Amino acid sequence: MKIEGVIFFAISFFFSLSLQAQNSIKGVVVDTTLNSNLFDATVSVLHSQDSILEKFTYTDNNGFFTITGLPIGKYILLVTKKEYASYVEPFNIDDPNSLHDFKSILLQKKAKLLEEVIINGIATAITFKGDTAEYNAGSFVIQPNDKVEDLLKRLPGIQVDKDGRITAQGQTVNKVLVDGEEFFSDDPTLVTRNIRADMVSSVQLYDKKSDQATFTGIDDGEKTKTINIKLKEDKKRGLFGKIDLGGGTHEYYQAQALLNRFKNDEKFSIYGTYANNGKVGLGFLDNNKLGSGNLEIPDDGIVPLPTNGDLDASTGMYDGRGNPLAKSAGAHYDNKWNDRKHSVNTNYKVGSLEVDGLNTTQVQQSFPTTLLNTINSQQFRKKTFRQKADITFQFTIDTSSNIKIYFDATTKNIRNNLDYSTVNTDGNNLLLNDELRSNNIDGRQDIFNTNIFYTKKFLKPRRTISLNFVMSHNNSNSDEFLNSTVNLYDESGNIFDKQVTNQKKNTDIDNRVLSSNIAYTEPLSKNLSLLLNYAFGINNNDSRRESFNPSSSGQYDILDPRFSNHYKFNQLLNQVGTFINYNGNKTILNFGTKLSNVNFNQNDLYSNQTTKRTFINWAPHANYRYSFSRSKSLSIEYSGANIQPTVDQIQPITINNSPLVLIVGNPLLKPYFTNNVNATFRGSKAQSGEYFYISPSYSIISNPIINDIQTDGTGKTLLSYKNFSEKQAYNYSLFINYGRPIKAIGLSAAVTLSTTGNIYYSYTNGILNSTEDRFYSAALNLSRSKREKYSINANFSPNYTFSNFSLTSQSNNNAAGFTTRGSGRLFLPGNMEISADIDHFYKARTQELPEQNVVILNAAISKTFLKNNNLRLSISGNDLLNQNSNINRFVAGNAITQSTYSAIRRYIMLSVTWDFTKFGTIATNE
Amino acid sequence: MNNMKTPFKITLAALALILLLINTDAFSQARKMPQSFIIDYEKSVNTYAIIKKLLGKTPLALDLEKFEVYKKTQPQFKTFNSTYSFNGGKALFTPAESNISTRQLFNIPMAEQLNTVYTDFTTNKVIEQKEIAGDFLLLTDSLRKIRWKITDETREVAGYQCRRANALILDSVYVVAFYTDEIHVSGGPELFSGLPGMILEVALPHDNVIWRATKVTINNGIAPLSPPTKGRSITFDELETTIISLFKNRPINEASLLIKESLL
Repeated sequence: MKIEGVIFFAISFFFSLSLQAQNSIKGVVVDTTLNSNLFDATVSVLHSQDSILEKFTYTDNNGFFTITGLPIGKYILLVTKKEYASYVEPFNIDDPNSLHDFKSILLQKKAKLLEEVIINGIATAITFKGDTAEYNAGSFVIQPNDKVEDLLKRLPGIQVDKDGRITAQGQTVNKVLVDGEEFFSDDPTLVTRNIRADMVSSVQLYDKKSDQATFTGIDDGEKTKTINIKLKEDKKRGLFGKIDLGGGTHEYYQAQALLNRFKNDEKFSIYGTYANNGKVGLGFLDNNKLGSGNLEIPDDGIVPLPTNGDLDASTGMYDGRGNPLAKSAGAHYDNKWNDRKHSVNTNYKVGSLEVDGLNTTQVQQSFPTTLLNTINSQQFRKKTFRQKADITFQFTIDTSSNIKIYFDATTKNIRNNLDYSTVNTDGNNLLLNDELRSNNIDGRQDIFNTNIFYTKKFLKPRRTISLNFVMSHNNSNSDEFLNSTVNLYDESGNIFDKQVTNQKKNTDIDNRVLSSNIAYTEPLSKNLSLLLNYAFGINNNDSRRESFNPSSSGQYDILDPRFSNHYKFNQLLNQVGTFINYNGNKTILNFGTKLSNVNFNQNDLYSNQTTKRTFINWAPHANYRYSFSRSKSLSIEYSGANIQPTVDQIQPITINNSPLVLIVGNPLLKPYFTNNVNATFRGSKAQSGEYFYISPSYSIISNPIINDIQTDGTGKTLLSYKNFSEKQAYNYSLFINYGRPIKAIGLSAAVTLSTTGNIYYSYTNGILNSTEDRFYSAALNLSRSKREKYSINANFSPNYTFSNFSLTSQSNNNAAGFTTRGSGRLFLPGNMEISADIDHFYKARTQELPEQNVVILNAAISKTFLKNNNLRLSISGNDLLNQNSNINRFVAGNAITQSTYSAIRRYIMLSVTWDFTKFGTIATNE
Repeated sequence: MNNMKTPFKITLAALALILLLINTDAFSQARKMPQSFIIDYEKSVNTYAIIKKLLGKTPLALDLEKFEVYKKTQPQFKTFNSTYSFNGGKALFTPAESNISTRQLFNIPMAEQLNTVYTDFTTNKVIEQKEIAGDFLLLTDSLRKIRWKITDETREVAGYQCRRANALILDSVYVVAFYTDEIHVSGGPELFSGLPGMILEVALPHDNVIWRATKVTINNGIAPLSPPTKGRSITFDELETTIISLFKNRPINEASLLIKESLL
């Protein structure tokens, strides 16, 4: 029987009671804002004298109601609906057979009422609970059809850039979860540009620890800045999505469709995009360790993934550089069943990205007696086709044990065509050399990862055992054609040498990791517990890099041994660890150390030389947290770890992909040690809406692996690596964030101060150079909005960069900068809306590098249609001033680099967007 | 790189699929209130207060001693779980099995769960299986009519916004109920019903008992519900006479309590 039956019963119930006259009332219930009729509103009739319930009914599909058989008397009509303010109206039934028509009864959303009473209601906008900052979504003004990204932009301490990348508390957010579940795990924009802001009850920001650390309660230092989107209860059942079609000038177009079906614990989503305007790039974020970020391998002993140059750099993510053509599609499904004892979470994504563009790079390198200035322009065309599937199963075996199984597979095909022209000059602007070069690369990468995590709790509380097992295989191979012509000039500017390189390069890099970690925890007393762990790991790398010169037949069949090598670098890790954990009322303290024995087995298959080395590494860790109150806490963390050299750094081969910059590996590199201390103090006041966050950190690196650069008089350089034991490199950062609403003028304001800096070393022509790089910035953010009226947001941020190379301390590389961002939306009558945003980016020129000064202005005008304003027609102008370029200035080694990429510039686009929603209405399984 | 063209095909297929799904579902704005759900209730009883009333103003020394023993061995608040299942216009309120028996010391029907209630909203009938002094009775009657007084006080229960309503039943029992208009079923635990939405909390403040919903599970496909069958069929009026005749010989405090509690 359908629910209509219940309504029928309710009505018939009253018919059966009312044997009196057919006195009746009727009306229709309407939403004031959306001007749509509201079904399922509750209409109750009370006696005005004592509010005794006489009768009730619910509005029908069209918002209408009728109640008949009311005795003569004085009444109150009470109309209620979830999220709406109650409506009360007195009325009389004076004579038999009367009909009282209420006509339209207007209900107003509570949120809107509140907004009009207290400005924005920012009072409890942000609270700190332990390590988690929780933003109450209801405290922030969102506009109709806003997505999570629009909400995140409003949250103090969180920034979202135009490509959708999120930074929180000064750090990049790599994971966005929905109700604690992975959702297209490696692409946060699929959450932030898909899920509707009005579905969100709160946003949690925290450092996600590894599964094993979460289970044992003892930190292993692995942390990922994570945002969890908590959905409102009534928005967990429904269908929603978006279709977006647009066409513009300069042949720009975009098409995007997203569909989501949520039903309690079951979520299903699919999407597809096709666009060349970079707005819906929806790329992959797979730069996490081992591809997915879901894997946990013991630190200290396992090297990072080997890189295969361009192949690895082709992540398939558009970063605002060049002109992209993106085609992608994907599906997500997760569900829990059996009282949530079993769950599955699976994602599949397929996409291709083609980017072409122009890149100009200016590099200034410091050498003992001179500077080396490089101007390099690159024309690039890069194609990446990628598929990834992953699946996670979770089983609760019984009340005490649990198992989680994760598997993913990725295949990637890339084709890059890169054309360079390079000019090198010395400090006196004398021409040293020039080069014309092309690199054409065809490659393929396959990645497989498996992770099994088992936990068991014993009868005795806090006695647990957990086992984590990881297996991963990463294979990449590529064919590359290198063509380079280098001209070397003498002092009078004449060519004295011409060097031509024409080679084919086959690269095959294979990495296999197998590791397992067993942890056992034992309670020692009420507050103390002990953790013991044993880890075992194998990390095998096989790197074959071969270069061939053409023979007279034109075939590339002459091996060039200078630029070829086949190398095996195998590591075997055995690790034991002991930690003590104290968990008191307000204090949590844990400390301990891991001790590892790492065996390196380095085998050069060309010279048949084998080197075996053994290192004893230790990794101390301590973590202290004190909670002053529920919303104020201090935590301090110390960790020390050995970082292993990568196979790229260690393989004894000269890499000449760029013949002017040769890179040579050093098989004698040793691990280096980092000490890291960081602290966080956070506090919030619910009453005033004030919040405060301060987080300093400091690291010292002992025996770091540094660059050793040699240059000859011709401007060619040779880069190698060595351990440096004389001095320690260090880096630090400080991030301060303070915000509060200014109620008098309805403004919310936040101030952010941050600084980062580091000192490190390099050898240039045998002379030690120290590089000092410091960055200071301050930011003031002001925002004010009113739902369906306007929203404005402004951000002012001056900054200063200080860079110094000890070798060339006379050259001044310091620069002031200024970033201003503003955005506004204004709602006009007739469902019209205008919006604009402006970005001004300025950085002063230095002695060698030019000024950066870019203003990007975007504007749009739109009109919405249909009763819930779901259909939007808009005309938007992108980069109206036609100034966009992707500029980047950074310091690395002995060099300061400024890089400019061509980017999408001015175009006008006409687009239609349809947002559809249907909540709380998914049919039941009979 | 032949497969460069594949993603485009897949994209088109996905788009087609999306459009297909949307056309079938998104436009129909039909009313679909839950057709079936389960609500878990927890009943909490202040047994000390009830025993005090049971003993009256001038208790016997033996009873006081019993009370002392009771207090030492039993908690002040006893809780009981029950579930309310609703499926297609019919509802069944079932107590969870509980073996807490207090009969050795005092007979408090309130501190037990003796009733299974079946409500058929399509015919407006209830069938309540009651255990009275070890015997089963099957109360078969129409829904109890309660004159609810609606207030403007609201409170959240089990995640639902509820409105308070007060009433007086059985001439002297004061009832406070919180109902939600998000669930369009005019039911509640035990025989409490008749509000414009599901009752998620009901308290008898002067009788030291409260039922509160702890969890509402919507749409989980419940098997058809069937009424309880144990016991002799009886109407409410017949029940009243039966109970009065059963308990009238007890001491006056005990008798009035037992009669009231058995009729709730």
